Formats: sequence, structure tokens, C-alpha cells
Amino acid sequence: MEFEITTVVLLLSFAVAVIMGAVANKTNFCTMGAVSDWVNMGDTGRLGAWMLSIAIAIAGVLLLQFIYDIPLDSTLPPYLTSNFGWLRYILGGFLFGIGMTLASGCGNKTMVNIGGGNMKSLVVLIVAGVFAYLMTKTSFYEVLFHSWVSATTIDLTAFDMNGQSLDAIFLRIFGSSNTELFHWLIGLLLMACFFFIAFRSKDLKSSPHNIVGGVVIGLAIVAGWYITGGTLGQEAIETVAWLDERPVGVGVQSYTFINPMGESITYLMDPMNTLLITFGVVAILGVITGSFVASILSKRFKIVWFYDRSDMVKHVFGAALMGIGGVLGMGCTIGQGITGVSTLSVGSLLVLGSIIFGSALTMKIIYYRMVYEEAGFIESLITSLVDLKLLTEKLRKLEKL
Amino acid sequence: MIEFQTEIDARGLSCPMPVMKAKKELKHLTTGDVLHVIATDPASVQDIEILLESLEDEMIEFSEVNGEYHFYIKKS
Repeated sequence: MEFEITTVVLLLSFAVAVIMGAVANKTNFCTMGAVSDWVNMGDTGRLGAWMLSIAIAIAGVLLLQFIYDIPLDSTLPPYLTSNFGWLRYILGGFLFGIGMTLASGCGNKTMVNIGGGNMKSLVVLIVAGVFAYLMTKTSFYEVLFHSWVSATTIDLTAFDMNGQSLDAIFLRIFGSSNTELFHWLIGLLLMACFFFIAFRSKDLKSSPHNIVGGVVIGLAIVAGWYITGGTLGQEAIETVAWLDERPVGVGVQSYTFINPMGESITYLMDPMNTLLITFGVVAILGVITGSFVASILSKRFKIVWFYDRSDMVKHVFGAALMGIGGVLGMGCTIGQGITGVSTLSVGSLLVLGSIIFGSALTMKIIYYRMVYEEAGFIESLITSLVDLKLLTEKLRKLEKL
Repeated sequence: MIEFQTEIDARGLSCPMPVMKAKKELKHLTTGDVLHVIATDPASVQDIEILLESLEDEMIEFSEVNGEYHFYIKKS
């Protein structure tokens, strides 16, 4: 039996996603959990695992570029675009951070939860998918966001920069013409920073399963780039260019989960049309499958449903924010937080910071409102911002917890 | 049967709510008091372990009964 080259790419992507789902399930790799452990308990084990996965992804992409010359200037989505939409990155990341906290997990964790029997996460997937669909396939984005996003987007070509990679910015600052040297230098420096942040955490060093989680997720991102941007992927892109009926979403990419939720909705609306099966759709299916297998093998599969109406409202609202924020910020904690950062994109770093901030702030507000039952939203918000050192101590409204 | 002073019913709640509720309640207890937490989210097992490490409180008993996790935590 011989498969078409695009099918081979999808099958390999699916296989890597299965491993990703199984390992995330077994090691409890969770980016929202990482922020929660850090903010609520001062434990940086899972945050360290996330940072480790970023460091590994950067290292892997540098290596892949050296061997295969992967064209990172034409990825899906365009992480290194010369249109630097700083406000969409900040707002998108912030909204996604709030959303994932309310919906009990980021895009990847939502799939892992579904594989473990969590039906709340299935609702999150559907709602986030519908909002991602609205943002990408209807006039929803055009009406609500386009005018101010385009007004605040900076065209970097006006500054003699052809993209938003960190090395391009440094190259411009130092006025050098040695692009190759700067790319390697900045790439290695950023990788070293993330390794340093990861292994500064005693909690990570003392937790083998967090290390395994971080290493495997980082390698999975590298594998995604290799499959779609290496020899096989390049061949698939060239083949598709000659087809009359082209499958959608073929291009150099790696794992991300919000836009693919919208792609899954598109596919489910016309399930006989196999041209709609994208890298993202198989990534979603793969992570769910991997997590399902791990849950069954470890006898941890359990059907979970909403506790009460407010639990449902919280998850649905969070999912809507995930769908909107994930598309606006062009990715989630994995899509921008690891895949995007591995391209050295400044926008991805902005989204990463904004997601962590949005999530940490939401957790602090929830906690203050839980402890001080009479406290209002504004008091809790101001106090949380003081805790995060964004406002002066004099403005504190509630006693520090 | 372990005697406890306070109980939190976190059944049906997902991460990070069970651990946040446990953290809040532990703040109000005095040394030697026992808190009983009931949760159904599998993630709460690891979350509460990490919480107890950070607060240096002690898990005196843990059990899983019919898909419900029971944590008995002694305030240190």
C-alpha cells in the first residue's frame, strides 16, 4: 500500500501527537498547572518543565535549520511576519491566559483531559473551536478587531527588517550585516536563558517526571518542524503546489491547538472532504488518542461532568476567551509558547509573557475573592496587581495572603 | 475513621480550584487541626501533594473510594 506524501506527513504528525498526549497525561505536563503551582504554592517544577521544553525546541530548531535549512520565514502561522502586531499579541495572550485558567487547562491540556474522560474539556474544545472558527472564517474578527489591530501593527520593513525574529532586531540595533552569526548567537543565547531558568528550579531538578515531560514535549515540537519542514515536508509542499484540488493547511509548521480547534469544526461541517484534514486536526486527534491510551493503561480513565451550573458557565466563558485570544495572539501556550518561541519570534515571546500574566492575575483574583468573601472585583484586582509588583504597595486594598 | 475539624467538598471542581480551596482553609486552621478534602479531579492528587510540601503540613491519610479522593491533612 502506498500513501500520498501529504498523507505520510499527516500520519507521522499524528504519531508524534499520540506520544505527546500519552506523555503529557503520564507526567501531568500542564502549562496552566505550571502557573498555578508557581502562583499558589511557590513550586516551579512544572514551570521549569515548560521552560525546559522551550529550550529544547530552540536547540532542535537551530539544529534543523543547520541541517535542512527549514524556511522559518514562511511558516503556518507566520511567526516571523514583518507585520508586528504587538497589541494583538499582548491582548490575545492575556485573554488566552484568563480563558485557560477558567477552563481548567490550555489547548493541549484540554485534549489530554478529554482523553482521560473529562467531558467538561470536550465542551471547552467545542466552544473554543466555535470561537476560533468565528475568528478565522467569518466577519467576527473583521468587525471587532481588524481596524485597531491594523492601526497598531508596525511594518518592520520600514525599519529595514524583513521579519520579527529576535536576531533581526539585534542585527538592526548593532548595524551588522552578518545575519548568520547573529542568528546563531541570539538563538544559542535564548536557548541558554531558558535552560538556565528551567534548571534554576530545585523543584524541576528533584522531579524526574517533570524533566521527562519537558524533554518529550520539546522534542515533539522539533519533530513537528522536522516532519513538515524537512525533506519530506518540503516535498509535500512542492507536490501540493501542482495539484488542482489542494489540501488545506499544508506548510511548514509545528504543534499548536487553538486554530486547529477551528479547523476541526470546519472539517466536521464537511466530514467527507478529506482535503480539510490538516496537520492541526490530526494533532488534536493524536493528543486525545495518546492521552486516552495512557488513561486506560494506568486505569485512570474517568468520566467527569460539570459540578453545577456555575462550573459550566465558568468553563464556557473561559473556552470562548481561549478561542478568541488564541486566534488573536496567533497561538496558545504550546503554539506560541513553545513552537513560536523556537523560531526566535519576538511576538511569540510577548504572547508567552502575556499568557502567564493573564493566568497568574486570574488565579490571584479568584483566590483573594475566595478568602475575602466580601471583597469586590476591583479591590481584588488592584491587590493582585500589587502582588505581581505592577502597582505600588501603597495601593494594596487587601491584606497580603 | 479519622476525626477532622473542617471539611472541603471539592467534588466536581477542576484544577486549580481544589488546591486553592484547601490552601484557603489551611490558613484558618490552628496547629494540630485536621482538614478533610474530598475531590474528584485526578490532578488534585499531585496539586495537594505540592501544596503540603510548600506549607509543610502533613498528609495523615489519603484514600480513593469510588473515584473520590479523600485527603486528611494535619496543620503543622
